[in-house]
Amino acid sequence: MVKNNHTIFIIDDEINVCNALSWLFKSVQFNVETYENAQLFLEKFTNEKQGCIIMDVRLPGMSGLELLEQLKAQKIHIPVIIITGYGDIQMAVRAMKAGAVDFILKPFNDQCLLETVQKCINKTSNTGSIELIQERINSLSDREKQIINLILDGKLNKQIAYDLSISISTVEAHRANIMHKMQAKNLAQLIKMYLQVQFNNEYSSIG
Amino acid sequence: MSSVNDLSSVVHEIAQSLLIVHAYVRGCIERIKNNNLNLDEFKSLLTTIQEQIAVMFSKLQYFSQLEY
Repeated sequence: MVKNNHTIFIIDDEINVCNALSWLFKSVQFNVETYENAQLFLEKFTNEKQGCIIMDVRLPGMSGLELLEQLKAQKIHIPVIIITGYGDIQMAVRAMKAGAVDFILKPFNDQCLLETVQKCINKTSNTGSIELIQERINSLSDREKQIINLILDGKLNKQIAYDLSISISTVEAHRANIMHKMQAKNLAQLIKMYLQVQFNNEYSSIG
Repeated sequence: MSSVNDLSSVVHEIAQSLLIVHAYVRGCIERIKNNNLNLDEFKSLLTTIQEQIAVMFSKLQYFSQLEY
């Protein structure tokens, strides 16, 4: 028996990934549709369907970022969750700026994915109010803010240490402080909170 | 630099296989809870999981041979 009328749209060029995620979501009674590329998804999608998209950011042909732009242009308001590899932080940040509502780093825990999907479908957020997150950012030192920006650029600790002429262990200590002050459980949550405030500040400054 | 790229590629492929195994195992657990697991499907899944584990092993072997 189908749980609800929500559909999970899985877009990934790796067929084994599509099949595995399809198996997972069907087991918790979602409808599932899988597509090996973004173009096929756009050809088949109709606005009557509710749910969310789970998409690898790197796709053949039309990229994940291009699909996000197309969804915006065609006024298709369906939440998009990006799946990206651990070294692809920069791409995840670009995807969030292009309109993705969340991202998950591979490899990920299945419970994390299920909760993220449920959160998107329910349109709830667990990253806290903007004001609360802004307070946490204000508590960061200038160096810590520098390091967050380098993390958003996708830099590894070794590269951050080189750029700032400090030791790797100092970078690691700063990162630990940042995670503690921001109350972030993991890197993905840290990035999402930081971007949430950035977007909010950009919108507030317009007009 | 090519060793760093090789390492990234190995990490990516292992992460991909882990994602697949995780999803199948969790899906099986949910279906067992609902008494909804078909034995033939389960056998087929176990074969797929075995294949993904073999992929991870081969990537780890390759990784252990990389020079830095």
